[in-house]
Amino acid sequence: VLVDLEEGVRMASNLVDAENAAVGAPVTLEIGEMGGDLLPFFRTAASKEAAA
Amino acid sequence: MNGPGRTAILGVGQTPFTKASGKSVLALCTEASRAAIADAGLEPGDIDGMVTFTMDDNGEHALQRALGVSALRWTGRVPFGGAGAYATFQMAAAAIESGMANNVLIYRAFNERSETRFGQPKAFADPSQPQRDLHRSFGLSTPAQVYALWYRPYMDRYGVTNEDLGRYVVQARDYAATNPNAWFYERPLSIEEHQESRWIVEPVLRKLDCCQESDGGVAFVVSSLDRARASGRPVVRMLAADQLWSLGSEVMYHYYKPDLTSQEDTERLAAALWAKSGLSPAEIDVMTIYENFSPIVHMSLDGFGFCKPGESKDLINSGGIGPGGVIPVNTNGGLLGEAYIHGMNNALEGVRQLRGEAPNQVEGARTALVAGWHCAIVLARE
Repeated sequence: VLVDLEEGVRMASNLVDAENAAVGAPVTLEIGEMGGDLLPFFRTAASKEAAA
Repeated sequence: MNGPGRTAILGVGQTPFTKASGKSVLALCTEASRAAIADAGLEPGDIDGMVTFTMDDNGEHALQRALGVSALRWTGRVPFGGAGAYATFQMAAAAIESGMANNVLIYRAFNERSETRFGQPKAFADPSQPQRDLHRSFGLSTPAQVYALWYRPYMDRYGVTNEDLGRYVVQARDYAATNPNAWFYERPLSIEEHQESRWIVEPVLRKLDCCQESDGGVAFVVSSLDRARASGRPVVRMLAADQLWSLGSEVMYHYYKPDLTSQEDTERLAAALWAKSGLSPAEIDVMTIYENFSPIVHMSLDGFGFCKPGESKDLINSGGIGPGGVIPVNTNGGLLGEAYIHGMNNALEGVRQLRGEAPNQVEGARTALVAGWHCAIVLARE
């Protein structure tokens, strides 16, 4: 996915809950691990609220 | 602004387009180049310039030796890989217009099916392109994946579905089916078959939305207009040759303009082409589009001004790019239907149309636009 950050830049990343993907959906940062490295991933805000 | 109005494409050549050439890339390049030089009515010794673009498997000196080019006075490699393909003509024209060279050879040959597999993931570090690390870390490793993220906002904004993309593919395969030079000769495609092909990047690209991997070579000789006129052959004059890379442009990773659906580069490129050539979209008889993937056809028809933004799917779905349409596009079958020789076979089609030698000839074609997203040429038959 491409994510527009509130800080004003756009970055490529992965959506950890890709099944919820929708153009324009708000997302929140979620640090994840890939091959031993920590990477910035994203999760849809709706899915995060549902889990809380 | 001056266009390269005093130059012409004097010769063209090609090898067969296959999936397993059984020849080295140098042998393919030599074969295509010799054909182009002979077609121009020249000898290898008449060539004094050679221009290519990056991601080339052939070296200049190897080709020079193989052809027997006695002295090179002009060489150049356009950056940006296939995105710079048609800027080679601008570089050749610059040499000729300025008197730096007389006859410039442009070439591309590869075995990108049988040898290198062009569209496969490649996990190599490239110090000149550190931005790729920002993308590969997240699995964006093939051109289909990379481009799909850019196509999606356009499709979303204008309501273009994958079936709409398929309508282009069906048209391209119809053209290919009657082009003996095409890999998909005599193999047309139905929209149902397109919709049954597997997803490569859902919901944007199916397998049949992606260009081929091909083996083969294509070459051109660009010379002065005076030489072309004296040749006794049909004169294919170059009216404009331009490239445009606005700030924020990238090769493949078109992600960083404020508006992801921006067609700024193509619109500015088109404006320069029309200003220099004195033509307008309505005066173009045939067009080719560097369609490494099908959505770029829709985006380019908008961007070059053949329809209003978002209306390209209506133009395509109503037969506007087919035989007898408003603007026939990729009449060779394009990079999906004919072959993918890094886009250069579409330029070949533009020349053939103006010579009246195309398998799917547009009757009376006098003008052609050979278009990429960042570079393009306008040709005219004298």
